[in-house]
Amino acid sequence: MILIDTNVILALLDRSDDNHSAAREQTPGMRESGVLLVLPILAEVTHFLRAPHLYDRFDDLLDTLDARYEQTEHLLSHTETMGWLKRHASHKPDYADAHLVMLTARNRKWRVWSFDSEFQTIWRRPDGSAVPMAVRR
Amino acid sequence: MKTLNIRLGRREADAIKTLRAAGENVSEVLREALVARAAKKTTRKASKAEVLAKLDAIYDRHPGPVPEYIELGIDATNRQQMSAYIRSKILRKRGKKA
Repeated sequence: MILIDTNVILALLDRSDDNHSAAREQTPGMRESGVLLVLPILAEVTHFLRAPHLYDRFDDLLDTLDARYEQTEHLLSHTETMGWLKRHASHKPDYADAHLVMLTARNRKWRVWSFDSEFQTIWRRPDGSAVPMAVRR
Repeated sequence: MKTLNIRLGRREADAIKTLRAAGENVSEVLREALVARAAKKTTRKASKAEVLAKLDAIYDRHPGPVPEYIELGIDATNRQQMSAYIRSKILRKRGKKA
């Protein structure tokens, strides 16, 4: 399962995004592995839509990706996520980062699809291991 | 036809009682739930070319101006810039309501 990050969705929403070409090329492969949209990412993305054509594109994009929405069985406990945020507090992570990392800790085969280099350079899972990335840069 | 044995906790056993009392066929409920859950785990088949064509069609189908965050030069891979943008949106919204 591929956990899609906000920056990938934004890259796919408009052709003028710097990462659009890369995200576009990666899309078929990710789709085949199964793309999961989690609630903290959905909440982040909505701050960037703010225009009818972007909502429409987002709808069509999710359909094109055949994306699944986070189900109750994926939900993490508040304690788990807050614990991770506290451990990384000096780097000021946000909730969405914590959620993605913790999901890969719980589901060892899941990977994060993101252009944010911090997943590779800073964030670690609770056992100290690297966050598995769908694409390495 | 295969059969499935499932251990039930109190909660599930109570749910079955409720369903049976309501005249539901519990086996049918389970079959439907299994198929629905499996469908969510399966990706619809499509070739790479089909996926890319569908993706590219999105922008023509829904034309519009360049998104504000791109015009403002927000780097979507930079967490600090993203957080600042989201914060500004939330504060502006609250300011309007106040």
